Amino acid sequence: MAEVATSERLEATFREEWGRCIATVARSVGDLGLAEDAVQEAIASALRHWPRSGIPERPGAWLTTTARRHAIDRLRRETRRTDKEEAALRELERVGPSSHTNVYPVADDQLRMIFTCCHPALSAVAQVTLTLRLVCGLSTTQIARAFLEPEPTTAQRVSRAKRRVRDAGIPLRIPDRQHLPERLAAVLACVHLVYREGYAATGSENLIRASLCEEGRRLSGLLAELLPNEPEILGLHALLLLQEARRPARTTADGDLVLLEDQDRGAWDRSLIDEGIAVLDRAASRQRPGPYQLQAALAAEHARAPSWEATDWPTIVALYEALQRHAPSPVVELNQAIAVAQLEGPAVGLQRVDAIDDAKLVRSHLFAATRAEFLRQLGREDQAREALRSARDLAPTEAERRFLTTKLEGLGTAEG
Amino acid sequence: MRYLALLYGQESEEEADPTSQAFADEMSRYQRFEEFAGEAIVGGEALEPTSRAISLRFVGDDRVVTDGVLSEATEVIGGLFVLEAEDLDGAIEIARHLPAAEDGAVELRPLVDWYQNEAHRPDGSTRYLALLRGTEPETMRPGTAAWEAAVEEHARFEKEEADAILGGGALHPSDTGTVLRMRGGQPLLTEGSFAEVGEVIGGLYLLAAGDQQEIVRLAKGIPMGPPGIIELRPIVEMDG
Repeated sequence: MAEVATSERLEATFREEWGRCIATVARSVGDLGLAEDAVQEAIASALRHWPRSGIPERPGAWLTTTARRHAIDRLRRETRRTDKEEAALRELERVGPSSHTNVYPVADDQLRMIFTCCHPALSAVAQVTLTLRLVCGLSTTQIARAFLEPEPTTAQRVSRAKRRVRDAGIPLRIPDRQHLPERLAAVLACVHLVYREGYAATGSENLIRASLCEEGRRLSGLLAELLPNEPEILGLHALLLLQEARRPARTTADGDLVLLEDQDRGAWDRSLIDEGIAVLDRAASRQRPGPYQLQAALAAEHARAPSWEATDWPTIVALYEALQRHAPSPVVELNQAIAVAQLEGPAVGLQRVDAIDDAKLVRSHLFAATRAEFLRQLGREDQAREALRSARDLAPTEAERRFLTTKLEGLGTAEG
Repeated sequence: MRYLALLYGQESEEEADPTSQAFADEMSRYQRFEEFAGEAIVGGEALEPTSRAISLRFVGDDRVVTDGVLSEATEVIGGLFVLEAEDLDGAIEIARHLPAAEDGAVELRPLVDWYQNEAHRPDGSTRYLALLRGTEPETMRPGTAAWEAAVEEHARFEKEEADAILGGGALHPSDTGTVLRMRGGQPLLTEGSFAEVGEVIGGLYLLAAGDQQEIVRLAKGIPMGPPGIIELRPIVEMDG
């Protein structure tokens, strides 16, 4: 039975089918731009027909067939077709627009699309934009709002990226086994970046940019469905679920930041935590640890702890050590120092922090703020104040500056 | 698809000396690459050092000729290959084995077209590679009217100088380029062109000339306006 087409149902249906539909059409026509235009036209047709006829039983099949038909028309109209377009047209005419051949499972079409959007020959920002547009189905208006930039900037980036995929010869293909690890790393980094963009938002930006968290989580969930045997995908999915669980507690209603140790653990989303831990357990059972699984394990450890003080610090320190072996980074070293200080005191923590040899991190607000906290605990208030001041001056966001200013005032000093 | 692989690296005087061990080592590294790549190689040339280059700068109607190259970059083009590959992944799979990818960088640029025919090369002539550098207005892309007009002008030039032209090709704009560096056995890819903005290569000719005067005359005829630069690079002749 056809379903009544309310505007909410229509929007939800398009949203649901977009990624699959465009992935399948892109495989048949071999071009992202043409596929996107064809699916847009199919949606326009649906908007004309469905309010009268109702939503068909298999809306995805309807949209895919209609989009293919539009693509065939478009290719026929082209007076000068490239070899690739010529081949695509011949193939489309041979099989017909409604051939829902199950030769290619839709899941493979979607994976193909994800690997293309996250191809390492595209810049990180181009990868994120293309993924949000072509896999998640966000409009350029929505992407522009999420990135707090003018819409024409986003629109231009989308069209440039699609053109680059076509003209540079970036293939629409799932990489072979040999290249899968290195290509998967790029995909995971892109999905993580989408999530982090949303996670970093606070205050008034929060509501707009939070959609990026949702998209990031949808993407990691989709990947976990498409490639269920890749433990690092499960690791990333678990990590995003666990971070999402804490998100409500990480800012106050006014958009002020709340540190993990001060967060109201009752506000954490327990069902997301349970889901995250279950996904992490599935990943761990494959016994192929990696950086995302370790980060998820750290998040899980904090999620399990009844309080900051009652956290299992020896486990946290051990996890940071493992993470440092898998993916060495000065930020990990800094976090490790904080964990070590919980066991061995602020003097050791300070020693660890001062031993970090990385010019970029040393000039960051994170580094200065961590030092300030150890100095304060050691009663060296003047030095703590100085470190906090430089942390405040280095902080990149308004929320972080406000947070550090409040801390500075807490040290009982005049503005400096 | 055909890709132009531009080989970037620092010039070393020792490697440029054909009697040196460094030259021999470099040669054998490239021989190994050519054995590996086999039929994927459509064409390839090594270039004499930039000290032997001649540059033509176009200032209004004037064409100023200078010795050497006009760029101050320390990593310069030392050679090139034309590669046949199904797509960018295929081109990267071949290009990652290029010695230049490990020592410097390889810029992979899709070619709009490419031809090479040396049957009519005059005896005793010297071969030069002419690199056409310029800005890339957004209106100048394959399919635009400006592009078609330029194609016609080049066709006219190619007809006029048919005896001296051994090959050539037009490149897709630099935003379709990919720079490949192999570091620690892993490929590092970046978007775009290796060259700084405003000096990107849009096309190339393989020219034959009897002497320097002749090559400069030929280059002056290449249809290119300001702010274009033509860089003439003598080609290393392996057999003689």
